[in-house]
Amino acid sequence: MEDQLEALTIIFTEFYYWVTVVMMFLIHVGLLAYEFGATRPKNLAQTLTRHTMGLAMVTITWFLFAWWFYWAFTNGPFITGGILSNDFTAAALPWSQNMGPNLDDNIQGVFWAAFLLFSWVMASILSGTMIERVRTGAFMILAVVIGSVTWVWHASWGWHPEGWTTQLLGYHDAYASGVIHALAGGACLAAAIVLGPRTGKFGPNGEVRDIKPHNPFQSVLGLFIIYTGFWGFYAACNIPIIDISPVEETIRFGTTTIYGTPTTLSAITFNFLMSLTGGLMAGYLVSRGEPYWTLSCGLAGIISASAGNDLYHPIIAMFVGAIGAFIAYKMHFFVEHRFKVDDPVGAIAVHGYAGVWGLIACGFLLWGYPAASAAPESIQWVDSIGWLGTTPGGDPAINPLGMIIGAVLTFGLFGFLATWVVCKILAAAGILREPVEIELAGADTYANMDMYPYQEGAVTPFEEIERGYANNPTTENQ
Amino acid sequence: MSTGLSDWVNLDNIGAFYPFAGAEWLLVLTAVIFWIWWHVKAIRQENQEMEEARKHFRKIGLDKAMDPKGKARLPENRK
Repeated sequence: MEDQLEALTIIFTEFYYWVTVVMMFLIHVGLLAYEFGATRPKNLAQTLTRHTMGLAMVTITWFLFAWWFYWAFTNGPFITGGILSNDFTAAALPWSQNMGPNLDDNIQGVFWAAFLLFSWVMASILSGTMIERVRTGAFMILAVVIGSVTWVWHASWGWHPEGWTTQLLGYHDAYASGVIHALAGGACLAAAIVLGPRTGKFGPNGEVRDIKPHNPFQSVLGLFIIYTGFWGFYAACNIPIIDISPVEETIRFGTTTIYGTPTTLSAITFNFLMSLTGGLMAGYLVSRGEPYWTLSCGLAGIISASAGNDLYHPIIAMFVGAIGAFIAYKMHFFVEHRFKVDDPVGAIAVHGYAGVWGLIACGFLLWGYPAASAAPESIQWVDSIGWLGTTPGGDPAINPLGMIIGAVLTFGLFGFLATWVVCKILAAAGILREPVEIELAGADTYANMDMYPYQEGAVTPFEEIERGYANNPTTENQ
Repeated sequence: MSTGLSDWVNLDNIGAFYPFAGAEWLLVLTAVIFWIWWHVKAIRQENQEMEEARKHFRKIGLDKAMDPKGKARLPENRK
């Protein structure tokens, strides 16, 4: 009977994750629709191809090395221990027989794909910020950096039950406010700064010009599809059925987070929808009902509450989401006006600022909760865990300082700094940004790749302004 | 050509069941080479296309390229 129960549990788990991968594809349908809608007709084909090929680049590198990073780098490496070597790391090596069809391992590919779909999100978010001026070849390299190096490196520290920031700092980020969204937002900010704004985005007196999306409906619809895929992401972050009883003699099946801490599908269902609602309500008011920002704020609401949505009360999740959406909206326009940062899709705000807020809020609201079960044996070079606080039972405790450090690591170090360095190298090599003539004429124009051939000839007021730069196409205008 | 299995009789003795099991390192090596080569090729191809486009736009005038009625198109000899 026990064997049958175990077999049923394994088969259910395999199928569960397999389905979440399919659901998470919708995130990418939505992100692509969102980005496509925000792009002007002269760049549409390039945007579609660049975005999609970024996912291919993440996939091949996820197979070759990134999956192994997740399992091997939990101690830094060389912060609290060396590169890990155990059954999990061995199975994740690209030449392992677990990394292919194998009757002895039914699930490796499903786990690999679930994490891969998280990684695709990183490249997709970055793609939106860089539209209409980044070169495809450079973006492919950046997709590998953010999708298969920086995010997963940090995830092995803070999105792993035995990661050193989880164990030592009490970092807890159940549905990835920080490990995915704050990190992606920091990367977008660095990319937008090094890349520079689209030519003509800011006028000679610093005025901000509105470059309208070519299809706002498509962008808004894309956001709704992202919500749907995000649901699959939430499901994928759980272990759906596992014995959670702390006593060996008894069995109690339940659901856990990625840290192995108990939650329920009911909890995340309440909190996903209530944080979405908080974001939408705040977004509606602060943007005065502008659909693009109202729905973007809904997404910011979910992102804000995600770090603690395994444990929040639904009304707490709603208010955390509402505040995060308000911060994202206000910060987007403040940074755009004050620092002349051109983020055509608002990704820095919706993912970055909302994600950082989510981490800080989690640190205060869940102060004292176990971040994960204590695993002192996994931290090789230090003798104790929970440096910033432990629970009475000896587990590392969630705390504000640990979460703020987590925000600095995600948004600042792995997001902003790492991307800034790589963008600078690509810029120095002369392959980061399109030549100004190509940008002004449009990436699709020369190759005759009209996505809307029957709309040829439509000109917006901004394009009339842009044509003024055609007589002096220098990089000084960028 | 036999690349691996020839029957499904003794499942307990079957682990990896793809062709060339045991030569995974070679498959990984080819994938790494393909990946790096792809980046280089894609960037070179993009450089070439952008240079051609810039020359074309200079020739016809960028203003004309941006004019919806005189939109710059792929030169006939490249079609």
